[in-house]
Amino acid sequence: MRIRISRKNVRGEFVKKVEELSGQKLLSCYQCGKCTAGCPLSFAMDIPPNQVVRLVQLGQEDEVLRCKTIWLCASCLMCSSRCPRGVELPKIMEALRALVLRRGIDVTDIPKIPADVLARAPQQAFVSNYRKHTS
Amino acid sequence: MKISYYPGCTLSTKAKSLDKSARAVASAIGIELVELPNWTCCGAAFPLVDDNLIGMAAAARILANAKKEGGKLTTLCAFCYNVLKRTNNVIATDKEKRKRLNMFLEEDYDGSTKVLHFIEVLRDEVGFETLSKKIKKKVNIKVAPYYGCLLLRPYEEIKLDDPEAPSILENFLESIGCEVVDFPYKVECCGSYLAISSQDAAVDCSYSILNSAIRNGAEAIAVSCPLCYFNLDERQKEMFDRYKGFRGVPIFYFTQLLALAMELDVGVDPNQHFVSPLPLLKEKGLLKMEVTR
Amino acid sequence: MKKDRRIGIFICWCGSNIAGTIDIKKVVEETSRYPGVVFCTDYIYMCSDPGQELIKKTIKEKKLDGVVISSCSPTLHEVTFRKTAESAGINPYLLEVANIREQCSWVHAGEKEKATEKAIKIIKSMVEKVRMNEPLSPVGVPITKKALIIGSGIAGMQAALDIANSGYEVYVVERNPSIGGHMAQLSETFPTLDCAQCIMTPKMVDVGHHPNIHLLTYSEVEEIKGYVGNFTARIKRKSPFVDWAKCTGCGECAEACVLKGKVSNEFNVGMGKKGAAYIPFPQAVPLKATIDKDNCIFLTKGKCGKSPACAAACEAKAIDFTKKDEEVEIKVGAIVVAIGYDLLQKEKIAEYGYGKYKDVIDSLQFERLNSASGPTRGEIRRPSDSKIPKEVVFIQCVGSRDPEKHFPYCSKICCMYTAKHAMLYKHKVHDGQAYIFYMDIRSGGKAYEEFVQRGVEEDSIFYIRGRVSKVFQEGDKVIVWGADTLTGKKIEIAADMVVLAMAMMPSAGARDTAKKLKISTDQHGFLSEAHPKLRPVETLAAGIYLAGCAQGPKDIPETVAQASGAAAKVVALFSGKELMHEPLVAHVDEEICAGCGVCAGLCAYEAIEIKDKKAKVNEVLCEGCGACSIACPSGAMQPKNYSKKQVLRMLAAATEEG
Repeated sequence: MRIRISRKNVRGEFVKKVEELSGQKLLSCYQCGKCTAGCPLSFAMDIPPNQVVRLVQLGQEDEVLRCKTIWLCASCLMCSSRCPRGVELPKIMEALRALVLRRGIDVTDIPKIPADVLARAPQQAFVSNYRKHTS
Repeated sequence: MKISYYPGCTLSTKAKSLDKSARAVASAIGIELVELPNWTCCGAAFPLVDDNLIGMAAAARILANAKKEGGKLTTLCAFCYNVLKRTNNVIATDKEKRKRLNMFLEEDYDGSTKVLHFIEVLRDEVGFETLSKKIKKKVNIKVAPYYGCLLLRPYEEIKLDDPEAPSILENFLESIGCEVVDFPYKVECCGSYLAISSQDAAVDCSYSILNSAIRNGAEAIAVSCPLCYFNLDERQKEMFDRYKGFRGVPIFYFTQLLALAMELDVGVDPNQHFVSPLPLLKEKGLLKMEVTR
Repeated sequence: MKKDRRIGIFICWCGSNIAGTIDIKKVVEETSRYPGVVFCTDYIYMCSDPGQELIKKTIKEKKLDGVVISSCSPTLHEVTFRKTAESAGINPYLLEVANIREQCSWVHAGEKEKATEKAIKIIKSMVEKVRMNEPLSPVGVPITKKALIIGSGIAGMQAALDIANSGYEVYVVERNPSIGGHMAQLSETFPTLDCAQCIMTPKMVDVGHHPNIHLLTYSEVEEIKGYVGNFTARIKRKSPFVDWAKCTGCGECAEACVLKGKVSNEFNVGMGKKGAAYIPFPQAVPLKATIDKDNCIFLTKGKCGKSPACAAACEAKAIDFTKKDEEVEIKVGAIVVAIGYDLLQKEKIAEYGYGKYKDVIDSLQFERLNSASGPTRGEIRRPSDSKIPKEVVFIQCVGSRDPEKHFPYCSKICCMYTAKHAMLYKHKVHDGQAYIFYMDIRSGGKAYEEFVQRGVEEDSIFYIRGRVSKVFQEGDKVIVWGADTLTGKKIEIAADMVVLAMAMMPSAGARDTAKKLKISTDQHGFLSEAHPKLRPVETLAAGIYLAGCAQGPKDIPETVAQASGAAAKVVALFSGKELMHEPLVAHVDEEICAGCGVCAGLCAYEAIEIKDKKAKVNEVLCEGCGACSIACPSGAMQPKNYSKKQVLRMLAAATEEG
């Protein structure tokens, strides 16, 4: 399948919105992959972190906002602490999450959380999870 | 010395052992922890998008409160520390955001409160040398220090220690007589809040950490964050199920180890640990008395 | 009052650069009416041949003795136009350039009316200047036809040989005991896999024996004074504590030294040890022993056993612990700076272990491992346990292309030498596997791309596109966490050895040397060339030239080419009888001068001295900056053709209303 590229998507609304929310210059990323190499959760992700950035650069809104990766990011900041270009990937991930959540979608399905987690997990886990994964 | 203390929600409920042990050791060392009056939740997550100012409002309020109470604030929860310190930086450096955040506050706040993690207080205000003279018994366990993420990153804003090769916990552990076990996963993420929404992924992360520590000879792991504690301790239940041959290892808060070293009567409540530390402590002769409930 | 000048104005369109904004017709109209102007015309490209012919013709026909060219900045064509004036028979300093491009049309694009008015004012003020200009003759400067080369790596040696072979004397100053630089440390070079020593030693020997070359090794430049054609350099000759006139280079002292095997060997980049007495390497030029004064027990503690073993072993009785540092002063006419590079230290890289893992080495260390004269006699063995590594990971771009933490630039040579390293490794360890983590492969030189592909096809080098996030020790393996961005997978390799392609940086002390020479560096410390495209071997200081990696990362062919280029500049400099210095210098009216000395104290070029109660300007040193003239309380000091009177008249013309 071929994707059509023009300034409508590579400098389009979606890209501009992500750049605005995250405060990052997406094209600074030169796809070195150091983020993916050091990300502790990338083993579970469907699209590796550096490829998420690449897809956003290509303006592929649907594919990015449907991926599991952005919900598997733990905001551990390991990627940005090693990025040679100073791109703050956690901010880009948060911007992508915001774009989904601000449509009124809750990604964490609260009724489905296992009973023992509800009983034993510390408050900070719930507060931060709900803030990052629910609307 | 007096210092304002912000416990945070978790320390008051699920991480009582961290709070209790911290208060006990503070008082034994001569640090008066004055609990911040009328404190509220800090929000736990520092907002990473540029327009989410309201996400910092709660933290701003706490900082403004602390300023009124003397301008120096310490906390034990790594999440709270991270949020408070980063919010403080924003208020101190970004004029526009400071103006807007102050609109939520009763009084204007300028970002001048000093935010210190308790381990920082021990290193910088007390000194590990001094600490080592105050202990009564050496905690002769092979302990692997686990930092997690929020204590160290982002370095430019937190500046507590070298994010790739930190040494603050190692120096602390040595001062109380532990044999420090270095292992490569000590700054890797435990899975954090994914414990709620993607338990399997979080368990895998935590397992890699424990496995590495055990392989390098650790008999116990010292942590500073209640969520790391939960992921590394409680989740061993899943690890025993999933990974054949997994040996398990007890997890301690660093303040619990200090309390043990100072022979303080905080007790070790086995209900607070999934993997009971009692057999290890007994073996090392560190149990002063029988289990307290 | 002298006879009125007959001034001609030539206004250039510069294509549309000037004519696009300025109303040339109006300018011609206005300025041709100005007092003293007897001729005024315009042309589309004044700097072209027809343009110049026009100027020449008009000067002769209209008997002009003052010319104003209204065009682009004088930095571009002033010299050309002045030559034209000279060939037309008038003194070149009676021609001035009125800049109506950079100072007018280019900065006021879109404001036609205002720009036109301004252009007219600029031209009028230049007419005022020309009206009072004096004819001047350039000052002749004698040249000392000897060269100084600082640094004796491949760049320094090449430049030295080229200049020496042209018949001039050359002094080569080198801070190490032997010449050769980093190239002497290499085992083989790309793309030919020539043995570095084999291709270089002939040059080294040539340099050592050349009748025109004076080698000053184990020496450093302390101070440089003077100017092009007339530099004086003070050189410190460090004491090797061995009389090199007697030393035969037999190496017995190094064998006998009690510290043998205990002192870190810099030539082997910290791998393998030497003694305090040492010969740098078997092919050293000069082949002489040196005693390391920081480690020698006799020199640091005053006693070495009953008596120093080196002295006892030396048949030539060359050991001399009383030998002191010496100072020499040399006079030269040109300097070539070839001080080379260093590699960024791996101790600076946090995520790769801060240099503490023994089996994580850098590229120069790998060269030494592969070298027959190295610490392992050319066998690839890992530093920790001397085992032969079967899984070797090479990481490119360490510290390069990294604006956030280290250097933003590309170090240019690493892609090529890493491919070379992987190939050399496979040629020696047939059952080993080499992996290279890369971001891009930069192989633009002649036969370079083919070389890299040969490595892949013949030696199965496994290239992985992605950077490495972390390297750490686990048991006796070094774990590498990288990524393959082409598939998106995280990659983990349990390597036996890791080789880091560290960033290239200016050699230690480069900034200090630049300061001594009064030349500039860029923000990273690389020496600045006069123009990045058109003047790559010159600096902005006349008489000082650059060659090699001191100016920026480059490979050996480029270095050699640049060195020969610098040598050609030196030889051109030496080819004339004397140098011509611009006569636009300061001038003292001795009748007014009271000898107060304010001017002499201010002069940055030390060009003024007070003699017999009058200021005297050395026209060779004076650069015409004008500082003395501004400060002169009596007005006795004035720059030639830029007197106070001239400036005031120029200002009046530029600021008149209407």
